[in-house]
Amino acid sequence: MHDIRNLTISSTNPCLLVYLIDQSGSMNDKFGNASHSKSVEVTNAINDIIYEVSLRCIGSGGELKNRFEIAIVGYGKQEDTVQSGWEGQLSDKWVVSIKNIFEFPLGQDNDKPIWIKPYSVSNTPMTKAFENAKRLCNDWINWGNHRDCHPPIIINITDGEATDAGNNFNALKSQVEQIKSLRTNYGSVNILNIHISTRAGDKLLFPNEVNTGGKFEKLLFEMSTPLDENMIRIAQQKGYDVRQNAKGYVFNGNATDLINFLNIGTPQ
Amino acid sequence: MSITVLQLHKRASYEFKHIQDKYAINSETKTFALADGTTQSFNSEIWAEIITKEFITNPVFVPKELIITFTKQVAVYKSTKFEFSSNPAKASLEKAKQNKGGTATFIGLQFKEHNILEIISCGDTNLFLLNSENKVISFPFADVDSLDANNCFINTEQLLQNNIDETFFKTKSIEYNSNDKIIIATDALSRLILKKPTIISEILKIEDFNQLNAFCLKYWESKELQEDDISAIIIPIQNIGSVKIIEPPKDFSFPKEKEEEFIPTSLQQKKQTNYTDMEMNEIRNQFNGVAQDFHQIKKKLKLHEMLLMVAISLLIVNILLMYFLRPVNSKNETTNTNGQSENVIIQKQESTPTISKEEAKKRQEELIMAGYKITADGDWGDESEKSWKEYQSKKHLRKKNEK
Repeated sequence: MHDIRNLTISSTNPCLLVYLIDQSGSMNDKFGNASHSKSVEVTNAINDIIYEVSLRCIGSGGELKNRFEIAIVGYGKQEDTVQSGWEGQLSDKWVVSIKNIFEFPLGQDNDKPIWIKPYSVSNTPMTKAFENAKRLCNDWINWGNHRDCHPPIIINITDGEATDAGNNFNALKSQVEQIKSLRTNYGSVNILNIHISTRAGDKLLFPNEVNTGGKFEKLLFEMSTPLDENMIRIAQQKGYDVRQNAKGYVFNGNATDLINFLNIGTPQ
Repeated sequence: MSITVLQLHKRASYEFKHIQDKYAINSETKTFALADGTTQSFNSEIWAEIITKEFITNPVFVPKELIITFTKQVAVYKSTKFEFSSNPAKASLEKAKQNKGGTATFIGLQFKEHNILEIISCGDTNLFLLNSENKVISFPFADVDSLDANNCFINTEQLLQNNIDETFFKTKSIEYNSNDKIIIATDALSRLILKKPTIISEILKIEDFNQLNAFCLKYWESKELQEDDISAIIIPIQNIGSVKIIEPPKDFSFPKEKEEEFIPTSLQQKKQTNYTDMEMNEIRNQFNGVAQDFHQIKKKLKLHEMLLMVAISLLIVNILLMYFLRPVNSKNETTNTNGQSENVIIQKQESTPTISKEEAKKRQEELIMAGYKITADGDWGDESEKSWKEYQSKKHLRKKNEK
């Protein structure tokens, strides 16, 4: 395996980011003390992070370099189905390069482009979403020179329990384990989870262990992979108390934590 | 050996003009500067060039003073014109990036009297002093981990907001010998040297661009060298005079990667065509037109169907009428043809008029006069009657012709 510190994410060695977005009915509940819903908060955060990622891809001459390829997978918009979260001209795509993302925004909000809208409709088919992410990552790793690229990063944002996880969450766990076995020459696929809740308090950011909380909090923690050196550095820069082997898991984070989490999960 | 500058852009930049590492040398004052403009900041190569040039003109080794000097240069950086993209989404990105300013790492050094080398540095551009015993002293970072932990950069906006203080800078005075060699290198090459100090001898052997290119490609391919801009200045202390620049020739460029779109084969979505409202209206209109035509044809077909039914009904009625109204004795008529002819003869025989003898004689004489060969005996038989009728019809015909 190569030393990831020698790797620069570039248009010749891009990185795949996969956002799994819970679009189930419960996402319509309010986000903490905010006046808007969880789905609106998540959508704003995703639109912001695409913009932030793109800032790292624009060259001095204004040309956009395809340093990142982004997949948005929505689950729960239709009953027990998973579909691409891209909309408008990009709606038939799973993975879109930064260059194409900026050619086809859905519109503008406060002078900034947006790509997705909030949805909160049906069940929570999270297992199917991870199964989809597994296929995406597998196809991506085996395409072109992607084995010599940064391993894909999956960021799952949910507010609740999967409705298709099977007995003792075995179906979901199985998909996650299969994803963790996928790797490039620079390491295995990263899985980060953010569990947003309407409850106030009980905040848990990048923990090394989870002793409290419900079964599902523990499951999401177990599903998450440890933060790599780069992520730990960024988390520390952003003021988080993060130790070695901390996992990419956040429970009950606020809006700032959400955007910081997405930023930490995006290699520099 | 003269001062040697080695520079090669990263493969992803394709051409040398996009290199973001900048250097400046003042041989007279023996001052050197190297800055690495960060890829993610706005016009970072311009900022890197400005600070290196400023440093060799006005070398300062007191961090506070250098901060003031560089802060003054931000105005020069900001005066650089930039044309924003016509794509509003991209233009918004460019403006956001412009607002974040230009960022670069920096190292400056000057050879002073009494064999003292003054160094000031901010960021992960590193210096290596190679003495005659091949011992390497490095500054500011002595190992890869501390180099990677660096989080200090000189950013234009941070300078304006007074967020950069002396803690961002590291300074050092080193005593050197005349046989020593100095290498200053940007982060990618510095990282390789720190990991593998023996690489220095390989670097010192580079004499032309082909060798530099081969060196970088070799270590890029083996993944030991980060795919980044590569810059180094090799300073043989004995000979600080002439400068040899080894950089790509004008016509050199790395091949552009094919812009192929990644399509996940196992997740191929059924393509759903999205029509615009106008296209949808057009489709709807065409469909309505076809529906109307179909309706007309249906109406006509119904009329034809009715006419056909009437015709068939009439035909059936006709056949029925013909059947029921046919003559009842027709069968007897056909079977007794011979009997009928006999009856006719009888009727004819019975129909021979009875005329007086005198009249008969008169007619017979008239017939003899007309050339008929009969006897004028006063008996009026069939033969006489037949001749008389023939004579009368001829007579009648003649009269008609005369008229």
